[in-house]
Amino acid sequence: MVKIDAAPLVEAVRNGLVEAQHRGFVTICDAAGTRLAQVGDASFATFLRSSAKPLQALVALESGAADAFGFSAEEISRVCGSFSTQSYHLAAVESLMRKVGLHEEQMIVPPSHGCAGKHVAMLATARHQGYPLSGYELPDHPVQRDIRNVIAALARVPAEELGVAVDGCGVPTWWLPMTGIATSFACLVDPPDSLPAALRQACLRVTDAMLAHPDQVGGPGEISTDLNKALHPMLVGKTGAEGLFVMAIRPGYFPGTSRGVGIAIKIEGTASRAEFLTVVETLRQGGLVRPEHMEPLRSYWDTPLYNGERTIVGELRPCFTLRGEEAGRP
Amino acid sequence: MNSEAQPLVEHIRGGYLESQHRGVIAVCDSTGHVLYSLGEPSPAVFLRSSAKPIQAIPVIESGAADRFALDPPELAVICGSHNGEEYHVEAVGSILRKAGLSQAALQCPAPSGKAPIHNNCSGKHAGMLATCVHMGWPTEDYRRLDHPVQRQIRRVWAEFAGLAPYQLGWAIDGCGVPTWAAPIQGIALAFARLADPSSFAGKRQEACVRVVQAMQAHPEMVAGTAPRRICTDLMRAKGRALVAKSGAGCLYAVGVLPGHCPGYSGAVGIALKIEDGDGRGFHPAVIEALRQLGILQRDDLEALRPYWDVPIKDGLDHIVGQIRPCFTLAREERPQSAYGGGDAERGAGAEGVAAAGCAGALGSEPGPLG
Repeated sequence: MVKIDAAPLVEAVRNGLVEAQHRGFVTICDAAGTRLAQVGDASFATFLRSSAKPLQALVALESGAADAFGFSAEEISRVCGSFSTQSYHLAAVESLMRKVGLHEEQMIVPPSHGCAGKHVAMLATARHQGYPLSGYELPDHPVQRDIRNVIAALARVPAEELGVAVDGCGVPTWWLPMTGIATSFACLVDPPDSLPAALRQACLRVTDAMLAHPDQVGGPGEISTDLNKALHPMLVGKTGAEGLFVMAIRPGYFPGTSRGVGIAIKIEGTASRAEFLTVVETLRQGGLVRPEHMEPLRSYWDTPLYNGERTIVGELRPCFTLRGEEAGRP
Repeated sequence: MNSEAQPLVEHIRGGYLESQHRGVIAVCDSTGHVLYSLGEPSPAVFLRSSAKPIQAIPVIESGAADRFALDPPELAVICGSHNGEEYHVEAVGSILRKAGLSQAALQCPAPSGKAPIHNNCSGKHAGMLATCVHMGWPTEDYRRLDHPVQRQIRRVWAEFAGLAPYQLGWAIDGCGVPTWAAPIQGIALAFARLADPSSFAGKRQEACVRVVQAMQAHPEMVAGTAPRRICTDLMRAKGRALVAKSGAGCLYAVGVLPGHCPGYSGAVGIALKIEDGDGRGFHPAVIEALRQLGILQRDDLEALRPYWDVPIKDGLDHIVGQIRPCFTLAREERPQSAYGGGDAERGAGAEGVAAAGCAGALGSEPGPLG
């Protein structure tokens, strides 16, 4: 395996001594693929996992399936979301299934699954496009090929260079460099003219739906939801398994550029505690989280370490500095 | 442990690297020579529960174990992080009764819905308390850093690791007592000495032998069987060859008795730490290190399969990837002393270690001990 330079991002300190360290990568790009800032080696590649959902949703919109079946904005947000702890999550999935005319047995996950909205949208696209419904979870099914091509176009990575494996819910998940992941999310809020008009419109509709219905993206206490609400209408963000978090910052917020940007964060060894702290610290160093935003996000950055008696014995703290790129250099 | 850790374990999904865990490994002989190392030696690794077999030494050395007639299963539970199974709770209760103490003396956090005696550290606490009763020290405040029982443990641990007591970093452990920090190679050295205590004075030699024999004869007391635990299963698989103890934050320490590590006639100590403390790759890394050292053979590996054969499954129970070790231990051409100095004898290299940063959070210099 090639040696990859992951940077220390977060350290756990017990009485002044570093007890554990979490390494990883932070990559910030605009929609043209220009890298604006990074920590760690931006060529590191990993799987999108659930962070892919807003990108996977684009196919349902671009194809016209979402309109043909009358998806609401809230339902589109559910297609982009994870977690299924709340009754409104299930209600949105069941409404989508009714609109598409799907039965539970046509899906490889039950409606209560955190990824069910995504599965319904894949099947809606298949039905609308006249693809077979069965086998929609296989990488060579046309709906998955469409998704692969869209992700490749947004990420500016050749489609044949996207790695593929099976995600936790049984459908393909895509593997690409951090720069591509960040670039693809920048497109969600600032789609370049080089993309087809229907795809550009799909990007903005996905962003608008997630912004308007943050509870469907995550849920109570989920960082995707809490960030969206605290910083509204600055960004949409989406968790992915294995320590990935990806954000799309709308144009006009990120210092030094008028463009929208994508921020991809990966904890090399996976750790929610380090992931959340890195997300907030990246936004803080980027000048996006101002002091008045800190209080509603306290649970993500005020991170003491307790012992079994709830005595504070240390803390988790960020230990990285965002490094800007020379302007204009990809 | 802010050192240059090396990748130890990879998460491979569909043939692609998705995540990885780094760490450091040190392998020492009982004279303090580093035989293998991976990653730059880290200046301070918290011992957490890996400290327990050596925290148990003063219980025997002080005479408390004999005075209260502690039997080998009880000594083993003092060295253990137990599951709180019935036989564990009975053994800890017996230690307390023999020392004339109630369960209230333990002062360990209660696991949810259970009494504090079910805490995985209750054996260690009972051992500390038995020492206090025997020595005539107060038991109410035995968890304090400056209590004589903790100062004695710090001194003993430092001697095992070839350091001065003030060179051990400290913090409060999950169970409320002090925990100590030492360089990774010092932890390896300490466990090598536990496995071959011949450089110690007679009383300590005997204490080491009793700790090792108790852990080997009663491995279920060191961790447990429901759920299955790696320390118990490793010692069951390797009989008389080794003692092994896990610590929180993914530290693993092994003492290999003389003659059981191919290529070395003496004892060997092994310390492995996962940098981010993530448990997923921890067991595969431990087993792989022991395999590469030739300590585990084919039959052993089969018995320990659940600890190293870790497939990644999707929600539909299909195997979609694998967690696998990705390191190679390279034998040192010219073994160096643990702390980089020319003198590999016990106690060497004190300045080197302090310079390496272990003195980050040190308490007051311990005074004379009882």
